[in-house]
Amino acid sequence: MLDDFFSSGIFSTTQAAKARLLLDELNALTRRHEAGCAAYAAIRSARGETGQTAGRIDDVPFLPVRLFKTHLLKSVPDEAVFKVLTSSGTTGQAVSQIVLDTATAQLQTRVMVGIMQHFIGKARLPMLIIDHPGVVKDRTSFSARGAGILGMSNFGRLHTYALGDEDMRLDTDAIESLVARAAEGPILLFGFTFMVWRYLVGALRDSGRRINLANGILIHSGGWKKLEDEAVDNDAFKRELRQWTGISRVHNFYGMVEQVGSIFVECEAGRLHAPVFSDVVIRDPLDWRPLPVGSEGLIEVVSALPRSYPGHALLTEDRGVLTGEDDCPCGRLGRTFKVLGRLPKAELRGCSDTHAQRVETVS
Amino acid sequence: MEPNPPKASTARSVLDRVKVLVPTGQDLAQIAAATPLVPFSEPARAFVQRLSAAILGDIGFRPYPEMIAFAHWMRRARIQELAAEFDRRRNGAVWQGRGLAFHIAPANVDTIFLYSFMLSLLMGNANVVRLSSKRSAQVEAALALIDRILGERGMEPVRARLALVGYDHDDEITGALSARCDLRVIWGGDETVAAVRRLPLPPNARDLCFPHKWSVSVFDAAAYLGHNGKDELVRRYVNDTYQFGQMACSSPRMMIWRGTAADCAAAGDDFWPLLERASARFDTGLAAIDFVNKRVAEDQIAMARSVSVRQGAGNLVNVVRFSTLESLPLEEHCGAGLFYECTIADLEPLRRFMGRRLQTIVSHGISQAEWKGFLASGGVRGIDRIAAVGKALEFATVWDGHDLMREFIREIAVDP
Repeated sequence: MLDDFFSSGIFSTTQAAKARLLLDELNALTRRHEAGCAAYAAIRSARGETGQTAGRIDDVPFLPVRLFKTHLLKSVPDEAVFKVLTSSGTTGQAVSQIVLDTATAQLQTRVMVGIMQHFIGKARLPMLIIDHPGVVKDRTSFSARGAGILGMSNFGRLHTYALGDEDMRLDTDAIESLVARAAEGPILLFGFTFMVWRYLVGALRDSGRRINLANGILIHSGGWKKLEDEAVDNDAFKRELRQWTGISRVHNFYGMVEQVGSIFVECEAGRLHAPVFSDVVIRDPLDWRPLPVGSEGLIEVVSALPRSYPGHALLTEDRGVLTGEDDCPCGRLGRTFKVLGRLPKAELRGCSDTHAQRVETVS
Repeated sequence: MEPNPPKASTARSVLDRVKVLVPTGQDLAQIAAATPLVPFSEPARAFVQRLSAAILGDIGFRPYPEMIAFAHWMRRARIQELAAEFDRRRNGAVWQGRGLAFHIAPANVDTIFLYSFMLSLLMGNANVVRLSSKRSAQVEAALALIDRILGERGMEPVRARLALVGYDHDDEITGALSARCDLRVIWGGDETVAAVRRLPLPPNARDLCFPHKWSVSVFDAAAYLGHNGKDELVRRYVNDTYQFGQMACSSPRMMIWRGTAADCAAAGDDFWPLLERASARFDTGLAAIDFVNKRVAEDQIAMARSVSVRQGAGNLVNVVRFSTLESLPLEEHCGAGLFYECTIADLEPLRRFMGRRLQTIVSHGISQAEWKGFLASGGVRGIDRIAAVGKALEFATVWDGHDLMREFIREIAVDP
């Protein structure tokens, strides 16, 4: 499956060539989900679009990603369900449920490996996890953070947790021991953006002590909300990180559990890249029209991977902007974009809420 | 009036925690002890007229149509009419204010608290109004204006009987104020009503509740199609719906066409594009998240029901067509210009549709006589009001089925 995509090259396919590959696959997925998922078929039918074929990637019908929080949408029979992924969510919040069959799960692994190896190389590197070991231990409250760490752990060895369990204190002894074992070779660091900022960079700055991780490659994800609250942007993040740890290779990535295969990694030039299997469309919230490079709108992500559930075209609740197409200074081809943060919540209106918060969705 | 003198000291210290916004330095305990004014007293009328004139004369309020509408509603001529109607209705009986009215205002429809306490004031009551701690600029401006007017000469009787207070949810404070009032007026959602109702009132006092409701519109399709001045009609409809992001109780969430299938289809095809154009000219204040919410709602409904979604030019107007009026998801509705649409051959199916939650029908092309005839020919559970297009948000002294002028007063029977 998707062999054409792999042989075309994950980041060496022009947007035009990719669009041809991707569009056929996306149209096939639309038909597949219409046939396999009654709820999806009902939505298509209500919109009078049943059986229609898209002529362009941005014509592929999209679903709001929030639907996966309210409905279990799947296109395979129960016996074909291999696993169900769940999204992050603080207590009380609805979580997304994403149904994978073996084919989709295998594709996901293959694509993730392909993308990550492109950035960190094929060897499993000594790995420093910017978190505390407890985050993956407690299976009852297993979080997306834990799941992300376990997923990335496949790319490393000598897994070392940088933070102490109780107090999130930076365990410099453990870090130094890992650095010693890495013996001047590269080290893979992985963590959630906020954890890296608060408990690695923040702890070092507070103590005034630098550590030397100059051979480190940091992969981080998880959103900028908390950093934005502290007015920290990507440049400031990287600058401070380099100052306190010497790390110069930093890759943020954007993705969501709701769309397997869509892993958008930040390149050396600071742009997020769509790999050959997926793409990004920026839509005007006023009419959903696709927007050109430079215009801010809502991020839609498309992926050729979701075969077991109708998640091949998803409208997110994140704002973003296209930064280019086949023109990144880093040399990778395809579209690049920037994430501008989550949509602000709706304003409270109406007569009925001196106590209750406004209900956001019809359920 | 004081329900429980031994506990007065505790109640007193609770009241000391209340921040009185207007008038500055007001003593809540004294308000509770004030004797009622007579209905339509001179000071009350003078105050209402001063406020109305001040708002209309202040260009700062121009951007807020709901404030202008309020000021217009309370203008001198209108109050004279109300007073005359009041006299007609009491027909020589002795009607007086109940005493202290405690109003709990909704968070997001700014002017409701003004109508609520001003009408109550005109009826002779002393008033304590609890405002949300999140207040819009226009509410703050109105508070400053009220404070200034209360300081003017001749306003002392009103000043002694009014306090606008702001505090975050605090059952102790709400309880202490409840324990001192004669009438508690609860605007807000069901949760507010339930939460406030748990706090006891004095034995003589009563609650007047305005819980969560929703509204629809019913248009005669043939009348619509033949209407001269559709643009104006649709503009008014936009005012009814988009003023508070379609989240006001009286903003229609649905269009029900009455007529033949052909007329209804033609009317819908004509109406929605006009509404899109008219809403684009209105400052809807809608944001990207509203459009996402509507898209989510459409898809959720499509998964649950057999519906069709109209394809519009943009995201200001979203229309979901239902084939029946049965159990529509009107209760939970994201507003922001999401309309359900349905057709009926005659009014009869509305009888079952009129549940307790239905507040207003915004009607076009169906005469008052026809509505009255329909309603007189059989009982219905709900529906509080039939209003013309453009009047949905207009305040009336009969609201949610309650005759406010009557609810705010009590009658003293004097034997002949």
